[in-house]
Amino acid sequence: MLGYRNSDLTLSLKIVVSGGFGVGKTTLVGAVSEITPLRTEETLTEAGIGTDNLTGIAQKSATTVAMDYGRITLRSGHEVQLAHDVQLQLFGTPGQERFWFMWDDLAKGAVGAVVLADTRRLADCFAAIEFFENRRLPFLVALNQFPDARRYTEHKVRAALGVSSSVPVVSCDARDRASSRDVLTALVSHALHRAQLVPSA
Amino acid sequence: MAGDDGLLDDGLGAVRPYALVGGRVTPSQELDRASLVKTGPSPPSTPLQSHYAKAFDLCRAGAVSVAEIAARLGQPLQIVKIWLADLIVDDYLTNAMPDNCADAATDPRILGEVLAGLQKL
Repeated sequence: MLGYRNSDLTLSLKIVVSGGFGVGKTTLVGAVSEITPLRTEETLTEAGIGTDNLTGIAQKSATTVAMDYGRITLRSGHEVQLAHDVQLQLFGTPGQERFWFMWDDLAKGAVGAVVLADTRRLADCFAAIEFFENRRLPFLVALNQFPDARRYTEHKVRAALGVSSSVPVVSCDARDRASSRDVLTALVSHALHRAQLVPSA
Repeated sequence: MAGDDGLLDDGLGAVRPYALVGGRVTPSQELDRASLVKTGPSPPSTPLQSHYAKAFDLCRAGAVSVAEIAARLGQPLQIVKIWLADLIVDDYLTNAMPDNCADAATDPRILGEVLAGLQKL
């Protein structure tokens, strides 16, 4: 077991923010991040190129995938005692399904995932839900409340998504820092609950 | 290695980062995009090549992730991992994370601390 405050080392924990195109992933990462959100770029590997549809872009020699990046540092202080400072690394996934080979790498060792959803286009997040279910990664569904979207009860949304009752469904305003922070709090709470149920081997 | 007087610096366009890793595709150290690095015990005694120097400078303020360094440098992650691994080999940079933290994301004690920390934000 790690001792308390015995070093200046920092734990790194990943949180994945996913969902369909234009659902507000960048906005949410920007709202909670302590730094201006950044864009990371990765060039597509050969494994990715093999599964990519290159029709019409045959002249293109390499594809670049961009992800949103933000972070939150939690420091030990008089209010909260931490064994180590923690940096939560927030990664907004590329929306396109053809980049899913990258999601595997992102999901590995992550605390969990936020699946951001728009009730006007719920189907856009089905694929993400299925991915995290298969990976057994803790996730929740956060309904980004767009001003002109109809409000639905959590029960109706849960039924439409077909997620189990153990998966939290919450509402948020991705533009709002406190609201977006509450989404992360709900996710970590869910991950903690899961970790207590299933002791890590 | 990082101090080698090899290629010149800025302004050669898209091919540059790949030239600057000498054709290598695998970093000499295991680095994940979320790995944290910081400046190491032995600061460089001679000026680093500019791409190494820029990466090194981003680590002066404390633990910073590989993804953040790559984003701030505006270079692909794969390339930056190789540069950072070189700097670690030279002891200019070092791992900023505790040992044995591979299972931190499923450790109830750590998750409890993170939850408490988030609630105080």
